[in-house]
Amino acid sequence: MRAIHWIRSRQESEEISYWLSIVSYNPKDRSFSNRIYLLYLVIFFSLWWFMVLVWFADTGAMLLALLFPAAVGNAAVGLELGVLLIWFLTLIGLSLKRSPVAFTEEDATLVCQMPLNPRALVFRWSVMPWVKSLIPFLMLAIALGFSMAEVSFRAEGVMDPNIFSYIIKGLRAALVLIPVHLTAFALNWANGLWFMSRQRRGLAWVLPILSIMIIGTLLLSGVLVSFGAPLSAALGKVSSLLPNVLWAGFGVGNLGDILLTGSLVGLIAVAVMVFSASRFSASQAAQETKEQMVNRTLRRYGFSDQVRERKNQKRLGIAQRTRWLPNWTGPAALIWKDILQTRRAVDASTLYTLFTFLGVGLGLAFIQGFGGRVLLILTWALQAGKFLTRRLREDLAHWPTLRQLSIRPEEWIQADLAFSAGLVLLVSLVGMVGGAVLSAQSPLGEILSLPGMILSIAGISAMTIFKHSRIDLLMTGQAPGITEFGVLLAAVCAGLPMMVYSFLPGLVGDLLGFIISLVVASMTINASIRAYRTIE
Amino acid sequence: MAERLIVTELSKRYGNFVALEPTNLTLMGGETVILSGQNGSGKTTLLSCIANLVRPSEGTVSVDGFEMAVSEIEIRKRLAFVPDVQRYYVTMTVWEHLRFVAMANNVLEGFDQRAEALLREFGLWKTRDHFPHNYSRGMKLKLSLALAFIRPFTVLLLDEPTSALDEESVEILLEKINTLRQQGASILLSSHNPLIKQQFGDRQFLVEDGALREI
Repeated sequence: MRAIHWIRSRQESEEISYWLSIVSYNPKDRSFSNRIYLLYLVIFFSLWWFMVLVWFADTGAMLLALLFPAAVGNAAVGLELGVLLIWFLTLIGLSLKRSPVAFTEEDATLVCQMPLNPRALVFRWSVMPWVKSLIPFLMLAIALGFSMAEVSFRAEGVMDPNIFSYIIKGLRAALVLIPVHLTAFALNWANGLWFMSRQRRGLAWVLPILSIMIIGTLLLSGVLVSFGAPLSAALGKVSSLLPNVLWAGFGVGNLGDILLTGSLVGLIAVAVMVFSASRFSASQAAQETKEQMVNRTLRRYGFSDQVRERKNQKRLGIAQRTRWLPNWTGPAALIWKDILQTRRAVDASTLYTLFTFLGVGLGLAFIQGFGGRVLLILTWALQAGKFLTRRLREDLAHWPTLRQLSIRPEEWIQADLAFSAGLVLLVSLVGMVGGAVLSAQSPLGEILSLPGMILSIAGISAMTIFKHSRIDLLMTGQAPGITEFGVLLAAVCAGLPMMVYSFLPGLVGDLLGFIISLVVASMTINASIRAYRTIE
Repeated sequence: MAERLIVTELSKRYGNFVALEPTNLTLMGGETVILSGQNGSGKTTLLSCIANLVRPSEGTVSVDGFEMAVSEIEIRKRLAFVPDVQRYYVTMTVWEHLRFVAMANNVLEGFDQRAEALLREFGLWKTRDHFPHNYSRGMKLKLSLALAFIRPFTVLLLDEPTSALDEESVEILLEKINTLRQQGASILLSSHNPLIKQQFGDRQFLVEDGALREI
């Protein structure tokens, strides 16, 4: 156990050091000034998090009171329960795919080859992941606790609430959640361990089936209650068990009893996990989690493109029959390639980005204030810049192939941006037309300027990418991303026509905005072509 | 035969570090020139500069009378480069890679027959619908050669083309080089393979600390 603890504690301190390095704190520096800096960090982040959670609580309280005026508490418990269940089901799904215990490549060659006690190994390796997965839940619980405090203070007419009673309400909600989270986490790990063992694999299906039955019961009772149908005593007991525990966090029920019982159940779950690890194979776990750990390391050091590439490789499998082979030649070949690649690389993040464009198009019809529109354009520029230059960056990362095509740089850049720009235009247009129908306002200015705005964002984004490209890195497949300055510049360029038709209403403003959008687009595309020629 | 490739005072510096000394080299049609030298001596830098993958610090490259600085596209139509390690698009199959290169270079005529013949020759026909990331290093190199051969060229640059190939594939490549020579193409290749040096070295150069010396 001592050896396991020694290895793991070093890894944990490395992990903590990584996070602390983000705020420029070096734990190895024992100087007095560094200790003062640590104190400053603790105070600063405590206050910062408190302020953030209070802000969330304020918004949450407003939303809860607005959406569920008659059952604010039920809504808070429902939200907490929903998030917990979604997380639990995701974890259950993962436990049926790979080992819950993840080992790095170094662990695979060192730890996994040692004759270590598997129970101690699993127990020790579970601590850090548990703490890491607990933190977001604690944040949610505290924010909801604060929200509930806000609601109750408002209802009681307390204008200047005591800050300690406020904090205690948040902490109470968080405290109740800890044993619930521990139980769910430990049971999931136990399930993963059963699934890994051939002899106990059958057992691994019990928890998922049981979970689905309980969740089904919860949903069924919710539907029955909403239709006013009476619940049987047994159904009522099962369905109210977990909500009652969470209610204790919001001041309903005996906190002491709930905590004691919850902790006991949590400890039993941990014991089940530890006893399930008797046949745990560290080598098998290392094999199953190799991909996950490599991706984590790559993501941590900013190589998210490589992570996406690896995921695509895995998803696409070995082979795929080519179905669409048009006779396009010259720069059109790039458009064919882009369509093919986009179609094969559709994932959740692509859909989310397209959904954002739809939302921005829709939002422009409803947000008439200039400030709100600027914020919207900034969000749009950030997402659109990344999306529009995805293929361009990929082609840059295939430098030897790209540089051997007999296509002029301007043709290549325009062709590479064409398909993505068309897609963004189409989705944003749908959003704008939808917004126009819902708000009964004519978005002529927006629709006219949209193509120019999209091209401006594409041009600026491409320019910043080319300016930061280095041939030695491109040769190894590393193309830079868009800088923060690039996003800001793209937003400014895209916002120019919007400024014109916002301050100059009517057809003249719309037409002027349209002309300006085209001029800016042409300037930015030309600037990107010039930047490409200077790549060294 | 006429001069196909003329390299004049081509050099590459990274700050104070000289990766390639000012280099002069001329290749005639049908000629094969072999570069040898230790790892890091500057062979790949020279080939990359000629192919314009790396921007040279000074000097010029001309192919069939076209100068790189003036007619880059014309040179690209005539010059093919096969790097020692090539990256492939993750979302495109082997067949699609070949098709893309042919489309982009406007040489789609008779593509299906030419591509099939090439893939059969290199033993990749059965795996034409595979994604290249599933290929071994040797297979990737063969695909890289196929991508170069799918389009016309008069000058071929090969960077360590036999480093990952099995004996049979080396034989195929040698045969291919021989045919290309007879057709009048100029070939500049870096290799440590004694068989290639023995069979094809019309002229041989040693690259040492970025400087080129005929041996």
